[in-house]
Amino acid sequence: MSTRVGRASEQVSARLIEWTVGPFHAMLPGPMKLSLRLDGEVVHSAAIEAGFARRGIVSVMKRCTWSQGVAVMGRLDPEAAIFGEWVFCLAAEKALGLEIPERARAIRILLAELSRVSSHLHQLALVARSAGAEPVFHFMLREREAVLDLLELVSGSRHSPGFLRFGGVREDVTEGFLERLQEVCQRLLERISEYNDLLTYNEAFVRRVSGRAIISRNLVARHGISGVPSRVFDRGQDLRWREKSGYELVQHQNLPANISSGAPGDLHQRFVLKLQEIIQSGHLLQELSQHLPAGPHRIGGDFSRIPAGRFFAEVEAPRGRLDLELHSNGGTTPLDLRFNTPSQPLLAALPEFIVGAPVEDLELALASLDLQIGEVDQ
Amino acid sequence: MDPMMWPDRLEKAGAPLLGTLLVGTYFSLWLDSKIGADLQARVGPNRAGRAGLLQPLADALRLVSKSRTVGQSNRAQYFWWLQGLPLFAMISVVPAGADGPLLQAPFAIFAPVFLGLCFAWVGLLLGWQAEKIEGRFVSVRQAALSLSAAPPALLSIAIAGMTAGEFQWSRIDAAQGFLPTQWLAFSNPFTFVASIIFLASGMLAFSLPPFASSSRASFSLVMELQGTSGIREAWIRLSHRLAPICWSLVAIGVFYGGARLPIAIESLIQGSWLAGPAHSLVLVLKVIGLQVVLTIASRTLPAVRADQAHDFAWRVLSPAAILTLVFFRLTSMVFSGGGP
Repeated sequence: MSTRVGRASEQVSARLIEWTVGPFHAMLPGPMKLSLRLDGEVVHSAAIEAGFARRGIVSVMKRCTWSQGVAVMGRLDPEAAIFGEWVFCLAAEKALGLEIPERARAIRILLAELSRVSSHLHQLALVARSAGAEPVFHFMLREREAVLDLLELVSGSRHSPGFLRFGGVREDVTEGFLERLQEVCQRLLERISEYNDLLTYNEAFVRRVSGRAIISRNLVARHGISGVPSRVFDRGQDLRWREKSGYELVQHQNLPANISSGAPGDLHQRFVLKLQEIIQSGHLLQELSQHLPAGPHRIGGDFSRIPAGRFFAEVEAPRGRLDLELHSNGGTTPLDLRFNTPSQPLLAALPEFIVGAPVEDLELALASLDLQIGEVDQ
Repeated sequence: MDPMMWPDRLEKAGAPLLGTLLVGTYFSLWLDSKIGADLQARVGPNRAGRAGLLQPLADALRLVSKSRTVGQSNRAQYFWWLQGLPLFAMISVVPAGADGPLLQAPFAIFAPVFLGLCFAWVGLLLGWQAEKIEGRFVSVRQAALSLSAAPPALLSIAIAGMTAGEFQWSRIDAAQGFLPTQWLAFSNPFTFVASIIFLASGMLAFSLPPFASSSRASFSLVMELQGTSGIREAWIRLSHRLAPICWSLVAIGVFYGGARLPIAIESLIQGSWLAGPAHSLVLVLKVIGLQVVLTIASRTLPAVRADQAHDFAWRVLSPAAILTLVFFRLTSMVFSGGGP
């Protein structure tokens, strides 16, 4: 394969280099094979192959009882396990016709926002490391540790809480949790400005990422990409602020309508929006921890069987919209489950997304995509 | 130089040079990990010796005891040792002590830049041997960067040489003193700018962060791809640490007062065995100071792409060096009241 440039009389022939990365490579967001064709140092075309991390979550779920399924759903996205549990519980509660107590709803939101902050910090830390900003990488992981400590304090686990139950949550919040949560939020919000000084608005970083790794409006529309890449264009694409989402308990903190730096949909805009969402979640957590509704944290009852039918639920996970279609035949185990995870459209868009990127920027571009291969391979 | 003079030169300049290089390299390695850890809110090395002072030694022993797992081509093996040649040649022309470098010659102050270029170009051959594509890209980028760093480096040295009146180490050394106000870097605004340009060129020439696209895109990647380990990896890592130290020594010799001591101490120890160690100590302290500044700069700034580094070299550093040289000449002509 070769490309020819110039007039017929004086053609320059350049052979395309084939380079296969993976399935295990530090640059990749997970086990996957990336077959690239390079024109010099620029990606000419790309193909992907996934399926190296298949865990058979649906098959396992079909063998689990309904209550066991909550813990398995947490494995869907190990970085933000609570959202898998949440969407499953929402679908089951819809089937059972349960109206969960306000306190339980608030505790779920607390955990979800903590997970969102943790996931965003982790992803931004990876971008920082790929951009060679090692101090910011370590600072962000330091803040994430504090958030994971909070998750551990309330659920006993840092990554797989297994904390949600049909009709509420497993337990009420631990003593001292809310005070510590406020401290962590306060510190986090103060430190975001440090990140901005060190990296976000650092001239070298802005120059490097502006106009790079663009997820265009067209790409978002064609592949159905949700989450931050779509919210860059339309802030309304957030399920949290829709009616009956459960977030009526808190006041909606509006994000700035535009990001002044970078090109539409580029890496810098996504980076800034993620930081803004961390700030938004921080304020939300502070507000909720000050006014946590009183009442029971769970509804009792026998939930070993779910009425027959198809039930749909959706949540706004850190990476985007997580949909679940639950099939039940009225038995003690799920009949079938269908997911629409936010990483699926991102992976589908990846070959198109990286075309034209220089090899040096590949790691940065892939890190900015916020792709969780576990969600895709399931 | 008369070959018969070499034993004398080796005795006078060789020992301080070796001492300065090894001690400077050792402490710059330790400081790099300590400062890097401090900037990243980590503890850093604290197990091997007090405050982790023996950590570089422990790392070296660990490297030497590793064995290679992947075979290498015969050609690649030659290139490992080939890159020692420009490095040793560079060591022989960097100033270390009051007696200057091992090799004294007219225009000798330019020699380290050319040898630094050779060093980077052997790296290109080495990376080209890598069977993986990343290795080739990294080595090509490094060689191209070193090429773009050479013109501003040569021009900035020329400014210093013109200020001193000659392009010989002895003359440059004689034009400076112990106090910072007597250093060439602070003798006029032009040499100050030239000294900054020279340091930036060094960071470019050896692809030090932030002029490496990421920490993983450094030359060590090539070694990992080649499956290099053991004594060969230790040698490569040492040589890639020694080269920037040599560059620092050149910067110190040209712009930052070299190994000059206060005149009183200089006259006191002149001719005694203390002269060598005292000069080496001054150089080591200056090397460490310079490395601290460079480490903080490279650890806090986000990395730039190779094309951005090229732009910086060709569009900023080189024009800045040319303009500094032109204005320096014009100013010196005006103040000397006539033409050259």
